[in-house]
Amino acid sequence: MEEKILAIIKENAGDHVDWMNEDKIVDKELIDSLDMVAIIGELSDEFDIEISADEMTPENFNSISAIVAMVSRLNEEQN
Amino acid sequence: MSFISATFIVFFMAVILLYYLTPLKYRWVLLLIASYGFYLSSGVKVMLFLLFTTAVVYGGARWMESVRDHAKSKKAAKKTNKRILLLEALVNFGILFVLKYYNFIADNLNGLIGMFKYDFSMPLVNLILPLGISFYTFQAVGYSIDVYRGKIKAETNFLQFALFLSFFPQMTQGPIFRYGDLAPQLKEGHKFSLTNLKFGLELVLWGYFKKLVIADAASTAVTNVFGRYDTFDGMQVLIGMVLYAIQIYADFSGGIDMTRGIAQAMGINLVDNFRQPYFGNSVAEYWRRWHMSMTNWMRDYVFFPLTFAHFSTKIGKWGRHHLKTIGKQLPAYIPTFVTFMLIGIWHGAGWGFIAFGLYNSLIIIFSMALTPAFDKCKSVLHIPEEAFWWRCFQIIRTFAIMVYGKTLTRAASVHDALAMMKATLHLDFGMFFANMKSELIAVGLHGRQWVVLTAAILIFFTVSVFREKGVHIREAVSRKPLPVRWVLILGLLTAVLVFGVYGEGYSSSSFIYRNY
Repeated sequence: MEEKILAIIKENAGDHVDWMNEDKIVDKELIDSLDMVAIIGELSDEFDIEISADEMTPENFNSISAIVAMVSRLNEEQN
Repeated sequence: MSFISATFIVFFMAVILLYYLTPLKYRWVLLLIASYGFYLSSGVKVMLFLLFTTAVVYGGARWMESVRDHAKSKKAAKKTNKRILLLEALVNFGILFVLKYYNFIADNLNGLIGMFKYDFSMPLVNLILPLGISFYTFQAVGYSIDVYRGKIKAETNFLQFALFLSFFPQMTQGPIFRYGDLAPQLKEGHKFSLTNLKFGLELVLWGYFKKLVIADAASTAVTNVFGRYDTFDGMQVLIGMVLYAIQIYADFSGGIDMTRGIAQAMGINLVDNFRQPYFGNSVAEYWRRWHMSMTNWMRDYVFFPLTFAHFSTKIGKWGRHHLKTIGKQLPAYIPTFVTFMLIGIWHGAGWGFIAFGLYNSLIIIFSMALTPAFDKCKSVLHIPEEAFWWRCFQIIRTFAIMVYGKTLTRAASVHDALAMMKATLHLDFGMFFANMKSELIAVGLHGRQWVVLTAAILIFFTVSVFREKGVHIREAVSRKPLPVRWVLILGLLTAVLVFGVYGEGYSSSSFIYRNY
């Protein structure tokens, strides 16, 4: 899952950042709201989950591990 | 029963009194009886529509929960619940659509059919529009979506659910509440609190001030200018358009203040529907501050689902590979367009509302697309983003855009609105200032009325500035010495009575958003 998420982030926000070791992705504005929207769309498609706007929080997107946790939680709730 | 009537004042005062006399446990029952009594005053037939929506949405939500509890898998439950939700939304929006838009569509189709000389026409029907249908339908569908998404549990008590959809202060013009924000507060009996009662009644009084002293006074001039704009010069037409923007804000936010005030007097805290919208620095920001309950509804249930939809992701992928900045923004364009068209149509059936939706969506989409160019210009011209003059410029620019936009919804037709906008291209300042008194009187208000209206708008503006700075007005007033508090409250009450209710030639008009 981690690899797939990393690939989605790289595709949408570029690979100029060490995404795996970054834990302030949103706080440092390394992705903007349009990147986040694109990432959410692709995560929804890839993992067959519905991500609502309420999930668009820095806590859920500040690091790869936070995104993994969110996707796992939604997967558990919905599938 | 109009908010602007002695009957309503007696009614809500009696409800507040009875609320506190009723045992805590049964206070929600009193609210339900009062709410249905209030609704009944608008007609028996219309109540059937409210009851139908209540029953369908209550049953639909219970059904979804039952499916979720008994399905073989979460995926299967989701699939079935999606169908239930769609059916429910279709029924409720279908009723709203037929009652509100059928005649408009039939009329336009008849015109189109007539052009091809076919011997067929759709009948125009005299349909009733139940009080608050646009508001309670959206609130009901929002609740269903939240149950579908598993964000809330379906309400098991039918009568308590009926109260959620019929709470009387919000039936005239909203706001549209999320179940979690309103229902628990309605169910819970609130203990008497003098602070809540005082703050609530103060807010009601402030609402009456905005409605009676500003909106209704401006209404005279607005009706005059919009009704026969071709007899006025450019400056007078512009004054009429600006006054309409102020009128609709004072009218709508005044009504919402009354709603929130009545609720607060019973210990129910409702979130505000406005955050100084005319202080927004862009059209997008304006919409984040205006009628927030409706724009939030559109954001959560239309804009984001469309933005995250599979087709948007595909468009986005294509855009990122083939176009630069615009490509990245592409997935947001369609949802923005759809959302603002819906916001326009939500306001009413007419080409003016459709044009208003188009106007806002195009401005926001172009602003997004041109953001990099604007940023470059600002950098070249060394414009400091936080400078006071720049902020003022942005606010005036946004206000001007909204003044022109709102003209589309107030004029008798899009043609009239465009003619009014064209008239404002010819502004003869010299002539206007040389004959200012007669020019202003010709608009429809005489000297004293202009002085009162201007003073009232300045008070409204000053209060808005304080609110923008984060000052909680009623808390701040409550900390003042007793004589100061009484002077302020009695001054407001006197203004409402003298310049509103008993004002010269005063006639109360119904709330603009009551018709939406």
